[in-house]
Amino acid sequence: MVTKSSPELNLSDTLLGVFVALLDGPATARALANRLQRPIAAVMRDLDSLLSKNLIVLDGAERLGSMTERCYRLPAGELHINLGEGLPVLLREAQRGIVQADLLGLPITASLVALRLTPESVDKLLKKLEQLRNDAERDNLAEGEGQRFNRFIAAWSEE
Amino acid sequence: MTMEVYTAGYLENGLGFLIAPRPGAHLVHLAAYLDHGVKDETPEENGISHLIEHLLFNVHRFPKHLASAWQELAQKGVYLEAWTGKEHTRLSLSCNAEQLRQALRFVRQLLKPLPIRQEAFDHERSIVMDEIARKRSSPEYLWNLIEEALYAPPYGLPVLGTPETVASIKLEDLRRKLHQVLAPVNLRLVLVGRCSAGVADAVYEMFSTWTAGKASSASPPIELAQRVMAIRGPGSRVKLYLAFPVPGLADKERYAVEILAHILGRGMASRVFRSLREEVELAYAVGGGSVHWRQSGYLFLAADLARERLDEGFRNLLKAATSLQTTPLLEEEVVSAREALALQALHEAEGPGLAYRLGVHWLAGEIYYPTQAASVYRQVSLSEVHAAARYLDPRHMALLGIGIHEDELARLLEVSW
Repeated sequence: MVTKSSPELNLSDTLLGVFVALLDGPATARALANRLQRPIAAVMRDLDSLLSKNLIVLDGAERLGSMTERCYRLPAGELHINLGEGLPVLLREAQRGIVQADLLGLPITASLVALRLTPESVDKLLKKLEQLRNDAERDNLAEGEGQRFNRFIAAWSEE
Repeated sequence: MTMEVYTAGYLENGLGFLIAPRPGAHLVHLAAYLDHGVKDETPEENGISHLIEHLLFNVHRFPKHLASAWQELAQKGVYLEAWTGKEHTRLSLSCNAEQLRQALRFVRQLLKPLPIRQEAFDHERSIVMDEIARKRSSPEYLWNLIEEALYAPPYGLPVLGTPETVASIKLEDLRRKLHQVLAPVNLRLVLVGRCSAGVADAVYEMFSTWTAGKASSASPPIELAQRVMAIRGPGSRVKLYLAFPVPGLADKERYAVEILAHILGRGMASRVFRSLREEVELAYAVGGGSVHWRQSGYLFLAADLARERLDEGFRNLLKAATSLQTTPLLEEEVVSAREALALQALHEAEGPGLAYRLGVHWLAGEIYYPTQAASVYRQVSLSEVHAAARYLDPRHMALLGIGIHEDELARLLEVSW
């Protein structure tokens, strides 16, 4: 997402909510509205907006008798959430995932370490983390295979 | 005691006919229903059904043999009307019984594929373009945008098409479409009024040699795509429309929904009229009703509001709708609505409206009897009407505003929730 290809994003809270809900997999507007406890027409407006920004795609339709409903999903392939306006999505999704994994007793690791280091050490550490990110992206599995695994790496200097 | 006896049948070529004699009628109403409309269009060719109707039924542009046949009928006061909708195209004529055979022959000639020239095509397209412009700029016609706000294509497409789609239709596309549409298997002939079952022989005589074409494809699945739709405009007024998806004609619960719509929005005794107009003096014009197609329909509420009282008006409309789910309906409300709808069914049976009902219901797969319909309305129970109130779920509604910005309308929707 959120970024290299679409730097002008201005995601409202409701758009973020719809986007985050789709991280769990394809869904119809009605299913999203039920989950988010919002009117379908409002969710549709957000889906149209996300579609126009290429942040989501159509994923076929579900047929129920004489009625049909469109499904929406995130684009195939790896999902990058970089800094900037995508950060709230990243934080919210990290929080949701960590809480859920903790409740279900699934593998999880998360920590915040605050250190005072020399500028050279900071530089070295950031490079290491970048390498770790690149390694994980290179090993990325094809969509639909294996367990879903979320990785959240962030490091920053405050002075 | 009234007895309704019809003669209905099919010719070998698939053409269906239904003859409904009405004792004491002065005229006979002949309606030809083509099972073709917006439901058969793609978004790219939207408007082609309506353009076909214009090309087929413009009395000023008939070829010579049709023009003289029409002149003879017109001189006898025969009235012709054509109409295109979401699910069918209709041609109807009202005439004296003496002109019935002549009228049938005329309809048969009219439905023969004619060579359509580029000049006639361009002429009708110009007229349709102006019709679109007129209807899109006149608030009184904009209410049907609520269907575009409620459904995805094809049901969410406008009947007239858009200037872009109509401009892009080519004559060869139209000829191809016309060839598919004009087939006896797609036609239902309905004759109502001063006629007898014997007219079936005339139908056979005039239509049985027609062998062209194939049936229209089955109705496409209907896709709900509830949206917020707004048309900005100057002025201090906002027209607000709310639409809730409800069952179609083929569903027995439709009767209860119609009664519910009547209680909620029809006339001066309706809930929204009493609430918004008489109790809180919010609106002079407020009401509602329901529309039912073959497989789907919608219940709508509408109000013309002052901009500064929009929030209040919207909240009151929603309150009137949702209160039906929680507050018990009054027995007298249900009785009164049942009777009004039963009488409406019987009233329609006295005139050309019966031809309309018969055609639409037949295309939906059932034969319509006004006395039976009246009886079904009268049998709907209070609890069935109350159960139908579950369709009035604000989460599932589409919203149309005329004279307002979409952001403001979206805010209304979110805030109300």
